[in-house]
Amino acid sequence: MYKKLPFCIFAVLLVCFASTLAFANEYSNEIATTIVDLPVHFKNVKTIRTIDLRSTVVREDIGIRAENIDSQPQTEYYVPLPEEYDNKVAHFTATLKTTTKEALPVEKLGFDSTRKIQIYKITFPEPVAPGSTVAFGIKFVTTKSLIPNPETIPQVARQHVEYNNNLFIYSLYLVEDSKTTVVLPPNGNVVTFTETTESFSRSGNKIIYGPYHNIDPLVYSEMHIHYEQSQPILTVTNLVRDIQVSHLGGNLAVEERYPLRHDGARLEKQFSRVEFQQSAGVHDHTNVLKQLTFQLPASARDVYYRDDIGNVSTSHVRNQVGSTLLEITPRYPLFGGWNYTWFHGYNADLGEFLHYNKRAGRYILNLKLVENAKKMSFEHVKLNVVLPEGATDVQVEAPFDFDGVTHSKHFTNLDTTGRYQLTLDKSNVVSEHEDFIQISYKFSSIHHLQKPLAACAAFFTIFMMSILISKVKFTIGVTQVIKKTE
Amino acid sequence: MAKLDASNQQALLKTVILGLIAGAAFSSRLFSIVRYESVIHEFDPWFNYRTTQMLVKDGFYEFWNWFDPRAWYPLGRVVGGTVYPGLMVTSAIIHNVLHYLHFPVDIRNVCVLLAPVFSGATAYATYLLTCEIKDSSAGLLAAAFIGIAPGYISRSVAGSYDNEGIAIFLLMFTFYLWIKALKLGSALWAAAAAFFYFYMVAAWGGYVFIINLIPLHVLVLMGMGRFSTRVYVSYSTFYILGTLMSMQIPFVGFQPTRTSEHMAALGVFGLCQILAFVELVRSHVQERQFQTLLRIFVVLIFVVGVVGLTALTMTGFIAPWTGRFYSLWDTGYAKIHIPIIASVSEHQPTAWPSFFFDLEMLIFLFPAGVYLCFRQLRDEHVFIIVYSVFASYFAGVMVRLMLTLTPVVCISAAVALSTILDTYLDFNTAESTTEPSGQPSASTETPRSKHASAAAKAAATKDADSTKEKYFGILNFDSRTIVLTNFVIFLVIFVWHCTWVTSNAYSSPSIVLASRNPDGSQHIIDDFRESYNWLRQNTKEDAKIMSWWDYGYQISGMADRPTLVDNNTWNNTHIATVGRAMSSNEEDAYEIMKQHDVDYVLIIFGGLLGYSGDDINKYLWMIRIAEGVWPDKIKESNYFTPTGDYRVDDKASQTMKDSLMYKMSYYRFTELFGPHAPVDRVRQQTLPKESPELNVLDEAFTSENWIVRIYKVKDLDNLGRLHKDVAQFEAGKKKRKAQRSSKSKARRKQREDSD
Amino acid sequence: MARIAVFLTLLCVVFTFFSVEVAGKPNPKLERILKMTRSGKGTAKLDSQSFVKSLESPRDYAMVVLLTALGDKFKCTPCKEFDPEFRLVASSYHKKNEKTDLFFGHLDFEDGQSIFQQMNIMSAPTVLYYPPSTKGRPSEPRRYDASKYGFTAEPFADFLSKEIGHEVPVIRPFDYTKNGLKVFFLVGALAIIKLLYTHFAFVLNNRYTWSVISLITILTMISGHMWNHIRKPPYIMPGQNGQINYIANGFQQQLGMESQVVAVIYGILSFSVVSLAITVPRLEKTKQRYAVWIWMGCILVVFSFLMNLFKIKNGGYPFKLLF
Repeated sequence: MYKKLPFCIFAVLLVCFASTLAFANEYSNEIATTIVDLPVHFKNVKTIRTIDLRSTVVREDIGIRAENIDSQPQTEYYVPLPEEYDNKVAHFTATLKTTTKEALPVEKLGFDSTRKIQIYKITFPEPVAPGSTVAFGIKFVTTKSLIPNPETIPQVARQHVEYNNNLFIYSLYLVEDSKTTVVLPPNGNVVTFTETTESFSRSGNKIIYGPYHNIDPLVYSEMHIHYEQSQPILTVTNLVRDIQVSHLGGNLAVEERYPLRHDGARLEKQFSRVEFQQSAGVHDHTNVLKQLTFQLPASARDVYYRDDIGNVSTSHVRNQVGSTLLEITPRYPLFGGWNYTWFHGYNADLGEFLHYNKRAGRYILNLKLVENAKKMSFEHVKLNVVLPEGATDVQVEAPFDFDGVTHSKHFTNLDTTGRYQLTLDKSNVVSEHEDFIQISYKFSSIHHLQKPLAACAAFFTIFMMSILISKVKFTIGVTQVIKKTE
Repeated sequence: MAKLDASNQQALLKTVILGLIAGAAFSSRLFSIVRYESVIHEFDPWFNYRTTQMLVKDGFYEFWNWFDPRAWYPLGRVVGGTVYPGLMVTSAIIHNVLHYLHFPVDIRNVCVLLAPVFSGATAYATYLLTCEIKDSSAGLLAAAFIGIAPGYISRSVAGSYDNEGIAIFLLMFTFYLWIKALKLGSALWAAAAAFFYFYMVAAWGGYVFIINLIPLHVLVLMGMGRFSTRVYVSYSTFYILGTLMSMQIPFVGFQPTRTSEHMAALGVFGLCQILAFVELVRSHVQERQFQTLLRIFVVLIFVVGVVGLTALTMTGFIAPWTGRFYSLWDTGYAKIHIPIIASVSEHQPTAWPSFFFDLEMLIFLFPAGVYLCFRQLRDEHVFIIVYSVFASYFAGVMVRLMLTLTPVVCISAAVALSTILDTYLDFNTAESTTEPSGQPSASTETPRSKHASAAAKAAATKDADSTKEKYFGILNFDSRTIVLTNFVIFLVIFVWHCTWVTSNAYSSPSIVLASRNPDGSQHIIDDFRESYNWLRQNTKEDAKIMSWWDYGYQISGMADRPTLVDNNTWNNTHIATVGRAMSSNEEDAYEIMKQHDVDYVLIIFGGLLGYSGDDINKYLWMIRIAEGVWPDKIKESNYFTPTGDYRVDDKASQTMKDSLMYKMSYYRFTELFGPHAPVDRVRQQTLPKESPELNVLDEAFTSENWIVRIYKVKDLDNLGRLHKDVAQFEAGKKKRKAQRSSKSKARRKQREDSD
Repeated sequence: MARIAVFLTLLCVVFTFFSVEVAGKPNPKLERILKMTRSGKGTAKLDSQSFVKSLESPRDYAMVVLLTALGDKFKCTPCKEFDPEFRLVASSYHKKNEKTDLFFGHLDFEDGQSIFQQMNIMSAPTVLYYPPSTKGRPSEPRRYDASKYGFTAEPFADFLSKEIGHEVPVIRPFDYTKNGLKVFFLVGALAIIKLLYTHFAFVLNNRYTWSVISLITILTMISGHMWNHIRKPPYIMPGQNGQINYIANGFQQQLGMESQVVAVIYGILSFSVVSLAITVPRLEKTKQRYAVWIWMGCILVVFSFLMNLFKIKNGGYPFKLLF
């Protein structure tokens, strides 16, 4: 023991030193990537940009025709994003504007801390020859980019929100000709919007800026729109989806837990039931949420809708061709700033989701990370997939990457060795992520016997015990007892 | 399967029948789950549920010394020390065992289904006890009766997660063990009885019933001159062990030595010792005078003991009867002195229909059975008799004590009925004078003259020659058929009755109300949970909720917010404070609420829906309880009209109209009716047209059918003005603002037209 | 005893009268009320006009009026119960002190029907306390809630003393004869028991005595006697158009008579069950047949009657036996 002591001390010191080093390294890395100076090989001949403000999640579509102005062919096109804009981006894709519409790989290059911009790199499949042009599209989906103004409104009033963005496209390259179209909600009521000296026009629920010519790189001029958005702004803080696969029952059990928050304009005063009941006619012009609709698979059975304190009776299940509709009404109408947490679940036929690949000898499970995400955005999503007891060699294929993938064990009904649980985490999710994930695993049907055998063993032991107890006499001095009783 | 011999067949048959009975008992309690959902009912169960959750989450040690700061704000409550933990521990153990077996049952479901499961156990315990009284056929009947008797179902439907649920099983089993111990005079059985008594103490305050009934039984046996070593051994063991163990429950503590409820047991214990001593001496000494001396000595000791006890009580060393128990003897006591006890509906006396409602035909088989017990007067029959007499008295005084009566009714009814069946189904009617099979127990049980002393012997002999005269059994076939058919019909009707009562009266979880849509489908009225959930989601974590004490447990259970008062009514003054806040005018109420930094006030209002259990109907009790503490501030008479009526319409007294409760209930209620005259559907009275104005409160939330109304307490005004003045000032300003805003709207309109 | 009380009352009343006289402001109203008090042994017996007269302001004395209905046709048990207590408080008040600040009035329904109607008082007895009043504003009466505080003298006296500020005594006349008799009978009973114990011991040792006692207790209890004991309902109730209700409607209500009927029913039923079980098998063939038919028929009929009774109490009850 005493001999060991110095070693211990040495070890501790070593560890401290190592850690300091490590931190130092990180730090130096940080420094290294602060200034990203990128070669300017392209210029944007023409950009057409559409900002879609119809829903509460903003979608920005940019069509670009870029020309290679360098001497040799280039494959890398860089997209800079201002920091605060980058934080709002939930989904970022680029596609080639050809007949194939093939998706272009997008990767994060680094953060320029001096200019406070995040830089992404788009790689073209084949190099662009000098002087020739390439046409492709970029799509951003941003959340939390609408700010209610005024922040508090009366119970019966229209909700107005503000949207701020760059008037031009924020590019690393010179833009020769750009045009921006802002699409507002159908009724298109606008309080104020940026009215530049140069050309802009407004027609119906569209505001068109431009065309503008020869915009220098990285120009940012504020565009601000203050308009009416009567939809509630719904944010699910932490969606948890539990999916349990049962081969024996051919059943897929799904349960989704929704902590919902209404980020719209809050109530000016407290809630008054009288006003609510009297203003029933105009509710769909206010930002109150009264009902939500969820589309479930066609085979969805025994649907339930509960919250922490029991079943909620106000829900309907409608069977349609190809799907089942679950219409739920929160216990109380949801106003700005209010929360409501519930969970609903159902059983579905496993056949719809699972199929067996003979060649690979693997089962492949087709799931979506989220469903029915049209009306809301998710700050964080956790998907727990519980595979049957004895599933091995589990792999995940997804069109997007996750924040975390964890493998663990999960014990339910009389499990002995425990089931395989796969947990997928992703934050800032929107309906664009409503896309199929493949989870493939190996499973041999011998494991079906596991549970019955365990049960048999248990009962056998119980009966043996009972036999023993009943047959063996534990009493002492039996005779006296009998004498007493008679 | 191999051929079984008769005894095995019987055993198998009994097991099967008992299993079926248990199944029936279990499933007949599931109406509420089938109709509504698996949810905790009513009020107290919500507290038990909450504590159980806590116990499962944080473990027993944490639970044992748990101080709950969120109840009885700002006092808080020492839950670990003021609760009967038996129920929670039971369900927590069940839960943990299931989880250990990887059988993940939600704790809620464990709690919901606990009472039905235990009702099955109760049926078994009753079977055992009745076997001791008569025989197994009677036992099976008794088990069937207790399984479906509404008197017991009323407290043990699925979801009514309350102490009584398991307590009745413990009661029956303790009594069974006691009888067993008494018969065998065995310390082992007595110890077992003591243990289950301890479990009972841990589970329910009604354990006092046991600790008074068993000593009484012993006392009566002594009076009948049946004191024997069996009695001595069993009672002494039971009392010592039971008392020592019961004192381990913190909530009970030293009560067994300090309160009058337990003194009877102690006295009888002392008497036992003395009598034993006397017997000892007598067995050694021959002279007759000495015996008389001993008699005198015994009497003296007894008198001295009683006097001593009373003296101790007078001096206060022994606490006198607590109000709840005292009100059982002096029935008028609670009404005047403890309004809180009197205000609870289940503490009201029992009218005869309730008896019939809860125990249909058993109620008249009951005396017959008791009489049959008298015919063969063994010790256990004495027990049944004593039990019946006292239980029927208590059940008469308090509705909720119907629960303790039901088992004994089932037992003696079973004795009576099985005697009839034995008589009319016994086909070997030897014409000669046979040993009476009128008491079939005689053959199976012990001949009674063994241990019984003089009196009993005399009785026995008399009984013998009373049966010496001709006994034929039933001779005519038609007599058999008519009697049997009739009783079978009665039994069928009994089953129907029980099912009907259970499904109609005892199966609604009072947190959900059901109504019928025009098309006959069921429509759930869920206002309570609507607003509790609103509180839970949209108020800050430590918002103090003031409401009448009935809703305290539900608020802490479902809304998870601190409350001022709740259903464990340990602090009368605090409750009276709330009552006073509710029943005084706005300024005083505001002062009280600010002193207890109340954030929200929650009231129940049935006026729109005609829900009669609302706060305006409970209001008089609030006033009375408040008056009990502040007679000078609150006067009940001021809330009545001069003619002495309790009205809420425009004839209502001014005090009534100014009171906070009245204002909160009817605030902006009249606007619903538009041009029509506003009507309160509970009181069936037409309200004044203009709604009362509230200055110190803001309406925060009102549930869909207006049953629950929540108000937010305004902050103190920055300029230190009274809220009334502020309101008037605001009103003045609003007018002007309104005009201005209309102008500006017009302007904007023009602008929009222009572009 | 009563005589002495009267004498004293007269004495003090007269004395006060004179004292008032000496004070030299003859007060006709006070005079009248004094006279009435005197004639009514401390309680002024009022009728409609004297009620109005003696209560019209200004008054320098307070007035307690008992509005009651003692007539037999009203069957108002609480009225009869409360009346002597009220008079007791009155007499002992005037006996104790010769104050003239409080007087006791007694208005029966027969005498003051109009008053009852104009104050639309539905329930009797109603006790109203009128504090002294000056000219102009008549004083608002306060009611003593007898149903809450009880029909005995003491709480009523407490109420009064709270209202007028000084203590209102209750002097219960000690009834020597009654208590004497009590003691005498007690001693006598003890003596008799002591004497006859040897002869009648078997009665105490006899199980049938005890069985009868306990059975009767049980029957009274399960037929809701405690409810009557606590709630004190009327024995029977006069229904509309003359006929008499023996059964209170409402599941949680009952009348005195009702519970007795039920007790009897239970008694009959259990007795016939017992005889079916015990007596019948000890009879010869023919007798036995009759017995079985009789008892069984008895059970059937009475049980169906019981169910009917319950159906009356609980409207929605779906089951019945014979009728």
